[in-house]
Amino acid sequence: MMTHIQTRLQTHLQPNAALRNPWVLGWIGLIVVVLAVNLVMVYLAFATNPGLVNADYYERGRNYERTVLTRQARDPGWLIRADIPASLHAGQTESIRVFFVDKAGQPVDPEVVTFHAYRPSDAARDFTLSMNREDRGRYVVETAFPLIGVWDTLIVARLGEDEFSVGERLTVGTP
Amino acid sequence: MADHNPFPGENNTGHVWDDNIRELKNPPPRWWMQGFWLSIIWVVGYSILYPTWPVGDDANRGLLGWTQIKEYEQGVERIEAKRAEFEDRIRELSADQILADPGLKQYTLASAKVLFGDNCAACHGSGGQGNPGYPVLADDDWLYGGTTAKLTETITGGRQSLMPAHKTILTEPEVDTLAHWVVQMNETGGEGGSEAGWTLFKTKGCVACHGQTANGHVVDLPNGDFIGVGAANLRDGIWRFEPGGFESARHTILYGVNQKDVPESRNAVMPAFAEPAGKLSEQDIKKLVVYVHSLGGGM
Repeated sequence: MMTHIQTRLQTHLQPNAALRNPWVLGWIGLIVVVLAVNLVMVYLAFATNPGLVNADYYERGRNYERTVLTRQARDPGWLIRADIPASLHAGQTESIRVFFVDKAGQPVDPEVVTFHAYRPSDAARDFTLSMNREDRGRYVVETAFPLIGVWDTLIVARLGEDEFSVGERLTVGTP
Repeated sequence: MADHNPFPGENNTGHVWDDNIRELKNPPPRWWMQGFWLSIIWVVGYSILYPTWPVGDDANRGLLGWTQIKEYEQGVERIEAKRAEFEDRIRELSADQILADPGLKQYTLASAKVLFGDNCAACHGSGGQGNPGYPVLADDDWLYGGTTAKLTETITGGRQSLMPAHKTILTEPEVDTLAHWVVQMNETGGEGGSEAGWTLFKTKGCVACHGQTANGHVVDLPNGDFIGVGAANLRDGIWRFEPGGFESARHTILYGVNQKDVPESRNAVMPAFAEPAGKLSEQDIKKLVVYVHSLGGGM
C-alpha cells in the first residue's frame, strides 16, 4: 500500500511536471523575451553602426539645435548632386564628380571642395582628397578604393564660413 | 663544444656538444641529390631556351626567342582579330541594324561603355542619369529627338540651343505670370496652365520654339518623330535646368539660354565630337549612338 509521502514523491517526479507550472512557464517566457530583445538590439547595432565616431560628440550634440538653426538661416538653397559610378571595384580608378547649382539652377563655385572616404570598420583606411574644378559648378576627383566592402563618402564644400555636404554609402566590389 | 672526439671512427666532423651531441658527415639522401642535379640541369636548359641572364640593359636571347612582351603582343593580336570581325560588321551596318542584332548590340554596348565614360559621363552622368544643367539620357524625354539619326546628328555636330533673354522684352509681372504658368504646366501634365499664361505664351513668341502645345515639338511628323530646336517640353515635369520650379523658370525667361551678351544667361552647349573638331571617329560615334539609344532612346 502506497504511503502519502510516496504519492507526493511520485507526483513530483513525473516527467515535465515543472513545465506545467505557470510560474516556471512565466519565467522561461520572460527570459526568452529578454534574450530576443537583446538579439534584436545586437543585430541593429551591427546593421546600423556607421563605425564613425566624432571626438567632440558631446559638444556637437549639445549644440545640435543651434547648428541646425544656423544652417537653416544661412542655407542658400543650393542643389548639390554627387555622381559616383554605380559599379565600383577595389583598386580600379574611377571619376567621382559633384555638381553645384543655386536655387535658380545656375552653376556656382564653392571655395574648396573635398572628398572624404571613411572605412567604417577601420579608421586607419580613411582618406581625404581635394576635388578639382572641371567646369563652372563641376568638380572631379580620380580615385580608387583600396578595399572591397562598405565605404561612407562625404563631399564637403566650403564657402566662407559655410559648409555644405552630401554623403553616400557605397559598396565596393571585387577587382 | 668538446675539444676531443669521444667517437672516433664515427665519420663525424669532430664537433661535439654536451658530451654526446655531434655533427655527422652523412651524405644527403640519394633522392635529394637526384633532385638537386635535376634542378641544375633544368636551370641550364631553361637559360638556353629562355632569356635568363642579364646582359647590360637587356637579357640573353633564348633559343626559342620567347619574351613576355612578345607573348603580350600576340595576346593583343588574338583579341584584335576577334574584335575585327565585330568591328567590320559595325562599320557595314547602320545603328538601327546593330540594335536589331542582339549579339552585335551586346558587343557594341560593352565597347561603347568606355567611350561613354571618357566623353559623355562628365556631363550626362556615369549612368546617363543627367546632372544639374545637363540633360538626362536615360529617359524618353529628348530635346532634339531620340532616334538613332537624331542622336548621330547630336553627337557628330554638337548642339547649342538659343533662347532670347526677355528681361527687356517682358515686364516683371509678365515674367512672373509666365514662370508660374511653366510651373503649373509641369505639375499638371500640361492641363493646368492659367489662361493669362497661355496668352503670354502664344503672343510673346514662346510658341515658335516650344510648339503649339508647349511640348517642345515645332512640327510633329507622321512617323511619330518630331522636329524641334532644342526647346524644353514644358508639360512633362522634367526640368531642363534643375532644381526647377518658379526660380529656375523665371531665371531662364529673364536671361535666356546661350546669350553671349547676357552674363546671367544659361550655358547649354554640347560640343561637336566628330573629327576633326572632336576626337571621335565615325565608328565610335555609331557605337555611342547605340549605347545612348539603349539607355532611353526612342522617337
